[in-house]
Amino acid sequence: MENGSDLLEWLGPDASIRVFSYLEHPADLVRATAVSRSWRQFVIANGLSKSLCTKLCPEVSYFSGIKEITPLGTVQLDESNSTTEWRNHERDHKIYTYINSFLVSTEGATSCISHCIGASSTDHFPEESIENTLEPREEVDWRQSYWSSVGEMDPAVPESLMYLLNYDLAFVDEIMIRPLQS
Amino acid sequence: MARSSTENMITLMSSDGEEFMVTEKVARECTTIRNMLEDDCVITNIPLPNVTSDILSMVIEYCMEHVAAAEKAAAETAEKGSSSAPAAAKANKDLEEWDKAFMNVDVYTLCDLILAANYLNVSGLLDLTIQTAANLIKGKSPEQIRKTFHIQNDLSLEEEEKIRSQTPWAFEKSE
Repeated sequence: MENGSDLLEWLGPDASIRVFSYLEHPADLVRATAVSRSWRQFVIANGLSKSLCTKLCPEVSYFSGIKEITPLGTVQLDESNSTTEWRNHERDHKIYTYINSFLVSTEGATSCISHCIGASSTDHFPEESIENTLEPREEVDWRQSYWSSVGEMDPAVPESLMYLLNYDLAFVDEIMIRPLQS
Repeated sequence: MARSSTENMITLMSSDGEEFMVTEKVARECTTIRNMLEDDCVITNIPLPNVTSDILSMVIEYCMEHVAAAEKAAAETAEKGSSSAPAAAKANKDLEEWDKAFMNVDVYTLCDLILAANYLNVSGLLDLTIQTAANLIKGKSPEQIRKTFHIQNDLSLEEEEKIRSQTPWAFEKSE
């Protein structure tokens, strides 16, 4: 800007953070980190990706900690004499940007279930198996599609269905349950 | 404290010594000034050492427009007993259009307006200017952002390439 001073210096940290908090798409924050060193520093040091992530998915604020798992055999290169604090900021930025990319992505939004693992009990296998719960149609081959447990005399005994998810981390925001009337 | 008459005039003085006479009602749009008036109700001359005359005149223009719009809406409600929804919607739209035209300024002026709105605590103007600044970043490529804000790119090619290769999805749409 004028006299070579940057927008961020011009506005000061408080007003700058307000401007960045009006950005709603994680890609905007990523592109901001590619504008200049001071912009990159600003976005990362102020944890703006985490703030956006918390806005997109308030449950994120319950995270007690995050960790980056480095694939075996790779050596983490410490490229600069950066401080631990800065490296932590960079790591957080990277991880929250990654989470944000999934939060805004339409892929995988329909179902995060990979496949069924099993049910606590099944009345008639395979006609009434857990697999039917993934079937969106109410009828398959002229037969109602549903899962049924064997049933218990005591209604307090719980039944469970177990699925494997597609991702290590998934935010489930909707579960559709349709009771069968018979 | 008793509410002062709206006819009271207040003089605002910019950092470069220019004086602006405004009604108390307009001055009260700035929360900072409203607080000063509430602390000391006989004050009539307020120096604003952080705001230049160019920017102060714009802030006053904004406040006057918004006070006038609010008064007009109140008068219409009083006249008809109730506000008519289509008329209110049209008035809102007109004011939005006015705001939009008001924001047709260069980035330096925009940044100074943000600082003045922040200092004087004019919440409507602060929201408007911050939103306008954010819109200059939204959906834009790093190159476009640098151009808008006259920023020198001091990232090395490797650094830039690393950001792009780590998050290619963020660069798909903008360029």
